[in-house]
Amino acid sequence: MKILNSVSLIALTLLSIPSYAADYVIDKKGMHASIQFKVSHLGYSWLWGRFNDFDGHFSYDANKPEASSIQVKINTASVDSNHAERDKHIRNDDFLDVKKFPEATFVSTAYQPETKDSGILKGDFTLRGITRPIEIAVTFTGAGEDPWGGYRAGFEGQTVIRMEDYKIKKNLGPKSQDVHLYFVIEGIRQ
Amino acid sequence: MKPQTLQDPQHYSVVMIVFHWLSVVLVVGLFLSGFYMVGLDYYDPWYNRLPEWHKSWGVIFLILTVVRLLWRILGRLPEKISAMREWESLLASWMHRWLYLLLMVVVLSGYLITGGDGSTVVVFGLLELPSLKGLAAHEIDLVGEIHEWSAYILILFVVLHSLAALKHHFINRDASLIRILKPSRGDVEK
Repeated sequence: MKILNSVSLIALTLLSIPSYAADYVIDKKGMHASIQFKVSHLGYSWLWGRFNDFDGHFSYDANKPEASSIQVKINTASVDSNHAERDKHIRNDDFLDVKKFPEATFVSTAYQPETKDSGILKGDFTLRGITRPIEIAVTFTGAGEDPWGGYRAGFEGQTVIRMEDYKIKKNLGPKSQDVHLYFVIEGIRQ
Repeated sequence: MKPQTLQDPQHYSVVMIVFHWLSVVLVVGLFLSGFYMVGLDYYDPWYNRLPEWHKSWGVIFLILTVVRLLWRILGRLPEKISAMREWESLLASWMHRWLYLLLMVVVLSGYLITGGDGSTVVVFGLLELPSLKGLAAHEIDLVGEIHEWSAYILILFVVLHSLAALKHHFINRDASLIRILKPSRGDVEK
């Protein structure tokens, strides 16, 4: 009896220990994630677009957020601005040159929590074969069990990159040098 | 000068002559505008207008070429130039076939670039033509490359075709060039 009790005690203790960083896979199948961008049009309005095909996984532990990490791969040819001719132009070598650089990637290097639910995610962003460090402002949006037996966690992030940093040739004008990137990431715990 | 007979067996008909030289003007104009417009600065006043004109004239050229082909198939062609060797005539007629094929490939691929997403192709704001729907991104890119390369090959063939015509006119001194300039022999034949 005594042994059994201590076994249950150990089991209970183990269960209550905060789990180590759990691994999540971005819910690509159900597409509860998005990578969107906006670029100023002449300084008068915003042109929005998105990447339809991307994949990735992250690691997150609410009790140890500074250990969080994420890796994302984007299929650059999946760019979609709701205009076939413009998308064709964005795919060619004036912009993304998707034939030569079919993939853009983000690999985090560090996470600095600022509040309980937000922080700065640092990492290397590779676009057109050029890798540069960027910082993404990240907000934790929620986590918990889903109704289908899984466990999910979600985040939002945003950052700004300069087109010339990635040698994008086309000049869209003085008000349109930047690309604002927005991420919605929902992962399913593995 | 003899009265002009439209069906002089040595010469092309007036209609075919008009088709030919209209095509010359349109092919050169479309090639130069296409070559120039893809390099235009975003802030150039012609950035939107020139591609619209290019597409509109492209559609007009497509219609012209279809009618021209029908006219050629249904109508009569001039007799072979007797001074030409068999292989020369054969080479010339194969060149003509290749030119027609390339013309069709160039205009149809151009048409598909614009309307690959199901959007319409507008001709000078007057005529709206439906197009194919549901081309994938890589298919639209492929169509774009076909358009570009078939245009270069077409121009190469146009140059060869013109050089051959000049060679026959100035060196062989036969009627090759005259018969596509004048519907009747008139007084040019000595």
